[in-house]
Amino acid sequence: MITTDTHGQGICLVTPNMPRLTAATATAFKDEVVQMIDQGYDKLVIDLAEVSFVDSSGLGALVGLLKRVGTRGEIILCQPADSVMQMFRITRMDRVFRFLPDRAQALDALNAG
Amino acid sequence: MQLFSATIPPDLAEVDAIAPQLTAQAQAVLPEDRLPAFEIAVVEALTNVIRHGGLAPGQTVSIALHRTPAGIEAAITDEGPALPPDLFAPRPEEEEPDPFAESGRGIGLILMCTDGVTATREGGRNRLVLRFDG
Repeated sequence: MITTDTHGQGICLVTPNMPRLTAATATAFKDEVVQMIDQGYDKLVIDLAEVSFVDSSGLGALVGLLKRVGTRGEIILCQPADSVMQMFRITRMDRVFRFLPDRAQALDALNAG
Repeated sequence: MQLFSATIPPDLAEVDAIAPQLTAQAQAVLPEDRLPAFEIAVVEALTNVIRHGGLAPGQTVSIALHRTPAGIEAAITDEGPALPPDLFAPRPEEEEPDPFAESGRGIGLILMCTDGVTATREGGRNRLVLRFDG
């Protein structure tokens, strides 16, 4: 369900291989990413380029991951579609998550951090 | 005028399958920038019925889209037990969920993304109508 590309310093690029992050898919997505966090990858870039829709369950899964990495880690979301970004704005979660335009900038930010 | 009608089993994957079809229908009626809110509200409503509606095996959920003078209405009906009467009552601003809550946003999202919500009980079925003005 996800593709991972691991880098040094606990950094992992996560690509959800699903067009919709919703109640039907959110639990499996979260479980797979948690496995990476538990292996020590707590600085995550989640590339949302292929995700066209996120519902409240998908948002809840992302919040769960944010709590899982805690203060020792970080999550950066990149390339959200406009429709996905609207979900973050409506719920005001755009103020909770960090967004960067693309995966290269996100990885640079984590490397610098 | 009815634009669309379908009946689905209470399976969350069915919501993902049908939602793009519903949004495609709404595209002819609502402005482009309203479509994400339309899809969010309809998906949250269908998901809520399937997850929390208490449907027995074999029971189904129906959804119909109607074009109205003001825009579009989505009517969701199910055969589950009656909904709590205040489920869709307007919520004060201070009742916004904790930003770090992992659940509990669905009903609030439905209220935020629609121009009106009507929940009724008719003939042993729940009928939820979501109104979207164009």
